[in-house]
Amino acid sequence: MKVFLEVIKLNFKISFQYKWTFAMTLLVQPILLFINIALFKSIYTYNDTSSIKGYGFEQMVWYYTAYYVILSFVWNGITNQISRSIISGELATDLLRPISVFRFMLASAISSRFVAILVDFLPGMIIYSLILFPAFLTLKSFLSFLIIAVLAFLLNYLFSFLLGMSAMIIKNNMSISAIREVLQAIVGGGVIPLEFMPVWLNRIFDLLPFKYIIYWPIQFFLNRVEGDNLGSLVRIGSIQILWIVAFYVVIQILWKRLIKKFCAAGG
Amino acid sequence: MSEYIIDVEGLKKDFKVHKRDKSGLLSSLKSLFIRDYKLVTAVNNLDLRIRQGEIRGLIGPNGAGKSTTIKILSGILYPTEGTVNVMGYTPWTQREEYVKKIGVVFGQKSQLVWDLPAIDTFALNKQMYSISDKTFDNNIKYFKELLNIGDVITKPVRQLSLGERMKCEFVCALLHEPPLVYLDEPTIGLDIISKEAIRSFIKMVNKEKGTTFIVTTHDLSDIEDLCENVSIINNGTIVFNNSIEKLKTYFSDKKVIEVKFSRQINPSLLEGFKVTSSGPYFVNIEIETINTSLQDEISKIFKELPVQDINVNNINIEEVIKHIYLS
Repeated sequence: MKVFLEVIKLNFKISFQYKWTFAMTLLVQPILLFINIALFKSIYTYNDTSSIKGYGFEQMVWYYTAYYVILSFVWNGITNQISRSIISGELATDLLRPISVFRFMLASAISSRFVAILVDFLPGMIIYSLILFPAFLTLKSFLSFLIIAVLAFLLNYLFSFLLGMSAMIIKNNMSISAIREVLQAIVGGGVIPLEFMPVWLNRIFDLLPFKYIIYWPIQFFLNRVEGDNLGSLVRIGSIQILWIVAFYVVIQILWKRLIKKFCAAGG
Repeated sequence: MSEYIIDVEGLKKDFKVHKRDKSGLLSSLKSLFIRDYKLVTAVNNLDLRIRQGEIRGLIGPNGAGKSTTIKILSGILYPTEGTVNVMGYTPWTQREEYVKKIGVVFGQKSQLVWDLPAIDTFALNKQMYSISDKTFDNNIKYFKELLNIGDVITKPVRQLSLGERMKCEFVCALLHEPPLVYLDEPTIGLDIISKEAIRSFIKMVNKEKGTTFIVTTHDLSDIEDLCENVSIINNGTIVFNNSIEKLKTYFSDKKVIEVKFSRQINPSLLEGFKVTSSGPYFVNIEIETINTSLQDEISKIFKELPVQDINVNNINIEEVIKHIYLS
């Protein structure tokens, strides 16, 4: 555990060396927010309604901002990182550490999220709230969002690690992670709210992990979970945990097999 | 534990390599659909035993299997066949436990965190290897003095020179006081002063802490300076395994006679000798002591040539190694 904290601390320092990459979102997001405000104001006024597909005006505008808020909780670059270290042979030095690659990279992913929350999420929330106040937010909804977001982070990490392991076979997995990102945006509900898609399609999406990484955290963030909040929290959380356990088991089995194929290029 | 710290038997490692006959776009397009694989045996039936406290040199031509052997021994690679016993561990199956007991320096790879000062990597290692505060502080102090890196370890690694970085890599590998350290080409690209600093450091640690070192290198002066015993790997297997002294006298029945002349000579004078190299003022003559006695040869030289200076040497170590590499 101490090791874990030290790795987090170390990566924290590294991330801070490049803190300006994070802060860039802070410049772009307000512009998008203004565009969305103008767009949805005219849509809501034209239709003379206060709710579309169950989304109030603030919720609708914030939906798109929420997507980036979620990313600062769940994003990681593990899939490409594994590929890079296999192609360059750097994985050899990772294997010399008395800690599993899985745990080492998890620690690095966690610390990168701490930095993102600090320089992205926190100032972002203040800036965005000044532009359009998130009236929908309550303490209860925010706390349940945090729980779902942490689980979504773990799920996303495992999913990324599993995809990253494909590099053991195909070496460069850029295409896989590109496809994953597109799917995650569309199927996960990052592009448009999933309520705009047909019911049968949503049924299919329910069977994929993407919704539990993006869509559900957004729903909890926007305080849009219908009925009993606690019940939904338990229900969604359990599905996330199921995915997490499943991915974890598959990773453990596959890693043992694939690591034998690693040939530590160079030198 | 047996008297050997490392005991390797019948080690074999095959790599499956994707083969493409021609260069060019068409053939790489073709390789999308039809792929030929070739099995390359990097290490083949290799046996190796190393005693506690040794500094063992591991040399061999490029692609002989040195690095592959080191990578198997340090738990990175899985071998195809064979058994390895290092301090009672099988490196690749007990990797996480085993790597706590070893240190590794790769001359061509860095274990330091690129963006941060080396001291941050040391702090991480302190936790990973559960090094006590006292040992950590003592070792840092010890290495700082020995390697003269007081200022170096607080600068970001990306700003260090190669020599400074290598010194930090050594600290990184030795901080947890492992009984066994693998060095894969540790002096590659270093200048003569840095090389000497690194070598005397290795010798010092070996003497004071009894650390066993396994060194691969292409620099024979490393081997001559550091090792008592040397193993030569060629085509994936050990072809020579003995002391440096034995390597120097490998061709014990061959001698090289170096003659300097007092004046320029006519090349026709050298016709009766087995000349390996010559110039207007010197000649190197190789003799086989089984066929010709040294005494006869020297008296013949004195009789026929204008000798100013004469030296009798063993075949030099580079020639020996070249001979072993090529055979």
